[in-house]
Amino acid sequence: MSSPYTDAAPASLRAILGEHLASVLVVACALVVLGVVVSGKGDDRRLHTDSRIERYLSLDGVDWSMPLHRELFRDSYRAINADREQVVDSVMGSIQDALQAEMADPARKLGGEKKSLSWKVLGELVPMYLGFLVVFLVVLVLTYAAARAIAVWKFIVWKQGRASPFRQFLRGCETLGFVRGMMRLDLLGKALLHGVVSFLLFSPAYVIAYSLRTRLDTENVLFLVLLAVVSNGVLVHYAHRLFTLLVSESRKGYVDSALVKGVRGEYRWDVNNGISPFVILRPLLRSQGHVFREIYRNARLQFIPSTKEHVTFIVTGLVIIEMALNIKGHLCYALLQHILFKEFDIAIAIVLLIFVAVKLVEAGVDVWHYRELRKYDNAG
Amino acid sequence: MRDNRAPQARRMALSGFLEEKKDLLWAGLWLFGISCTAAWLELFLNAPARARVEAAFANTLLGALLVVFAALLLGWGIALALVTLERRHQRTPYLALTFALNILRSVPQMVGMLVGYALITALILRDALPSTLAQIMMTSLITALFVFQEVVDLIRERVKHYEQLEFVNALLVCGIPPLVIINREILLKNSMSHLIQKSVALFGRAIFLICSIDFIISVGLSTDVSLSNLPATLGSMLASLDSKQDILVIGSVLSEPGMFGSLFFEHLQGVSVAFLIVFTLFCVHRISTGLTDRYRL
Repeated sequence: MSSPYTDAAPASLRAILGEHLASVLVVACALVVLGVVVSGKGDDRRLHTDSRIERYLSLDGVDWSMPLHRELFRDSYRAINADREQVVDSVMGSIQDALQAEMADPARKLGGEKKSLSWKVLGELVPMYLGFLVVFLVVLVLTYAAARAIAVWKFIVWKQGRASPFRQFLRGCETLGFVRGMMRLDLLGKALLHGVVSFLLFSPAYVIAYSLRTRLDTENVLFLVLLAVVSNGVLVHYAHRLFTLLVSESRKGYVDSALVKGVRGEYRWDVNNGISPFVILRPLLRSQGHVFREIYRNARLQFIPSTKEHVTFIVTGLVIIEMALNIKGHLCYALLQHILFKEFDIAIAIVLLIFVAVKLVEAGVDVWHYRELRKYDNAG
Repeated sequence: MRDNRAPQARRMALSGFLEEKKDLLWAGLWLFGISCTAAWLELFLNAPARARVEAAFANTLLGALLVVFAALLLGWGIALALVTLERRHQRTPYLALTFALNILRSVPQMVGMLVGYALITALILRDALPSTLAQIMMTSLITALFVFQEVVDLIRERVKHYEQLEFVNALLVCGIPPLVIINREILLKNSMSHLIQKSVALFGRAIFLICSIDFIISVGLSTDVSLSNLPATLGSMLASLDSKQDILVIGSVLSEPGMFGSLFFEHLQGVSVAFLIVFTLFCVHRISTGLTDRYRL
């Protein structure tokens, strides 16, 4: 399995943080240029599309809602331009369309004016951004803890040689015969529960949220956090990454050497020299004197940088949840609204803020990984 | 005389085969599940809705396949460029390319895809993407831009691993060009299982991203971009009013279990679309982990 950030690990901390800062600056410059281009184009388009009719609409003293004024304009236009009736009809139709479009424009409604990036708008974004950061960090920490617990549990079960309930059920059918095997309904029940939980973990957030919308308040922050942790396959993929690293470490030579030298290597829960079940929650503290401790420490060292891969995926999950569920007052919902109302400068500012959040967490992960590496003599 | 142990031995052999080749088992289960769903829809879902679900499923799979193809091409090309620059000690372009890749890596996929889809919408509104296939290809390319880095990492890791072994030096001494060694000896002959596993994982990731972006666009940005101007996928199907109402009923089943049966007859469109998404994601993940186990990747 590959890790994209393995190159960065031996570099100095200053260089790593410098790269993050440079990334933020480059992306900020690119987004500012994009913002200027997009805003300019939007204004141009409005001027050009309406220029032909704009002249007539701005005539003094003409009330376009009055039939008399419209007829007067029609007669005057015909007299001045000497055009055919169809051309006059076309001009009148265009004027009517322009008036209708203007009336339907949300910008004309109270409070629906088109916003642009200003200190006031930035001030409105700050609390949303802080809320987003808090939710993001909480989800990240919970996902890390849950993924670690799942991976450690899965690894120990794998070392114990225990098959999944469904496989045990199938084996029962094979060895005891179909009829007696089918009597093991407890195994079938466990397998069914396992399947339902797996389906839940792989479900996109919007499927779960819409399923529960009639029963729960899905705009609750706690629900948002819970959904971000358990849905979208985030937890499964993250846990699988650590599990793969644990398996790969357990196959290395130093594990056999340690076992030969008498280090404990029993993975059963219920024996004297076995492993404590609490190792799932505190892998380092609860595995003193067991070979698992070294396996976990080495796997963890490789697992830390992979957190950065999951950071973007967690943000993707949050964006999906906030946007799909229309959770008002949250940053990603605001992003969607600003795109919808073509307030691209504000949308670009939000994208930049999200990028900065990702970069801050990535820098934090790099510092953590660097410090972990420093604990080993060969880390330089 | 007939051997009574033969059927049991055959069952054990089959069980052993499936134990070793979980990827094949899950691929088979996926096909079986999809076939059963198709048969059920044929029996109980009205023809227009069934046609929409089938088209959405086909578009989603086609889009995801194109994402994998584009990601492999992009990843392979950029990995080779990086390896060549590293080999030739061209530090500045190497650092620039690595820097650009790291920036792309830090962009949350959904945010990047939203920006990309805004571009696609502009192209569609100007009739620059007239056919459905062109639109699917463009959306797949945008999606691939945010997932291809995994292919770059994999290829670079494989090359780095083999460069430490004797046989690369031996081939170089024999006069075989470095790019031939990388492409033929390292990647095609010795890393195919890794590339297949990565492709399967990317396929699952692509399905998830395509469905999610289409769901968001259909729910939140429906004034400019809608089902009428983007090819239907499972995500946009799920966002349609009928499907959303069907999904909402699942919650009602918790308080009224008697409604459970109606999910499979009266609310079939939304439930089947949700099932197709989740079941496919689940099976693809299992196929990917099965490949990892089988080849010890």
